[in-house]
Amino acid sequence: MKIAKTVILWSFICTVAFIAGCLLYQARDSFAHDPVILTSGQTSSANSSMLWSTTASSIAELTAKADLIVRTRVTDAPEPRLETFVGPIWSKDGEIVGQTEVRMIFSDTQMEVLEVYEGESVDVITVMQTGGSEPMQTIDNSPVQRLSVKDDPLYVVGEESVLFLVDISDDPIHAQGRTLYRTINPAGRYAVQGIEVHDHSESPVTGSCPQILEELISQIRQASSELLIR
Amino acid sequence: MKLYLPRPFLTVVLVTVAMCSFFVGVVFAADYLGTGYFPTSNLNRCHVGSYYPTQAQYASGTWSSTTDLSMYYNCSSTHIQTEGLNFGATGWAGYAYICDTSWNCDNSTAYNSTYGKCYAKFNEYYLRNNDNDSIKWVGLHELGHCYSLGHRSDSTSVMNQAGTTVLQPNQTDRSLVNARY
Repeated sequence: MKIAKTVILWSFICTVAFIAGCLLYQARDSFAHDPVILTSGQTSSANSSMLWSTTASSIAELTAKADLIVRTRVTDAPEPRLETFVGPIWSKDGEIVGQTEVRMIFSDTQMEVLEVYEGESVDVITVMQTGGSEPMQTIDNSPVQRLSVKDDPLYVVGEESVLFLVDISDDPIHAQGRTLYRTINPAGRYAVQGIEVHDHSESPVTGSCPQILEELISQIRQASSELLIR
Repeated sequence: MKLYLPRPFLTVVLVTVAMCSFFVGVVFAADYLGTGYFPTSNLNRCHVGSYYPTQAQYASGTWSSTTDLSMYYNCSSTHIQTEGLNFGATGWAGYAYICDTSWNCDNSTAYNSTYGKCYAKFNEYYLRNNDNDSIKWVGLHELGHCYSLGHRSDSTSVMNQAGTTVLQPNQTDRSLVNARY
C-alpha cells in the first residue's frame, strides 16, 4: 500500500517534471537573453519559421557577405509598410480560376550610425524587416493584429546593435529608389548592451561567437583584412 | 507477499526517473515551434501566386500520405495558404507564419495558441534559380512549420535548414506530426 502511494506520488512528480521541461524549453531564450530587452516587452526566441536565403553565421562568413557593417542606434520607431502582391488562385486541377491579393507588412527603421567597420561612411541608414505593429488585412479580409518574426524582432527606439547589412536599394518592391538595407540574417544582428553583445541567431554559430563588443569588432577587422589579402 | 525495497534505493530510482522525465520534456518540446496546432487533422490548402503550385502540391501530398494528416485542396475554407510570389529582397526564401483563431499573428503568441490559419510562402526572388527538388523541399519545410514543427539539426529531417536534398519527412518528422494530429 505504501509502495503504491509512493509510486503514484512519483508518477505525479514525473508528469510535472515533463511539463516543466516542455515549458522551460519554450521559455529558455527569455532566460538566456535576460535582462537584454530586445523589443518592446518581447525577448527573442530560438524557434523560427523563416528559411533565410543564406545560412552565414560566423563573423568571417557574415563579413564576406556584408555590404556594410556598422554599429547603430535606433532613432525612430519602425515605420510599418503594407505591400500588396497580386497573383492567381489555382484550382484543384491546376487551372487558374481568378486573381487575388496577398498583403504583407514590413517595417523600415531609421538608425543613427555610430561606427562603420566595413563599407562606405554613412550617418543615417534605413533598415527593413519583415513584420510590423500596425493592423493589416489578409487576403480573406481577416484583421491581423501584429506580425513579428521571432528571431528578427522589431527594433525599438534607443536599441543599439552591430549589424551586418546588405544593400537592397535596387529592389523595386521595397526600396523604390531610396537607399535601403536589411540584415543578412538573424546571425548578422548583434544587440549591444554596454560592453556585451548577443546575436539573434537560432543556429549554433560556426567559429567562436563573440560575447564582448571589443571582441566582435576585433573579429570583424580580422575578417575584413583576410578578405583584402585574398 | 510483501515487497520490500530499501527506501534510499527507491528514492534514488524515482528521482532519476523524474529527472529523465524533465529532460525528455525538454527534448520533446525542442522540436516544435510552440504548444499550438490546428484543432483538426483534416486540413484544407489553397495555392495562390504565379509560382510553384506543383511543388506545393507535392509537399502537401507527401505530408498527407506519410502522416496521420489528411490534406485537401479547398480554397473556400482554407487552413493553409501556400503562396508562390516574388516578395522581393526580404532575406527569406521561405516563410511560414501562423495566425491564431483570434487572428493574432505575432510569433510568440500564435505559436502557442490554437492555429486559425498558416501562410506558407515561397519567395521567388531567391528561388528563381533553384531546381525543382530544392523548391519541393522548401514546400515540405514550410508546411512542416504549419504543422507546428520547429527547425531540427538532424540532417535527414526536412526541418533541417540546410536539407535541400531531403524530399521525404523522416521517421522523427512523421512521429512529431502524428503526436499532434
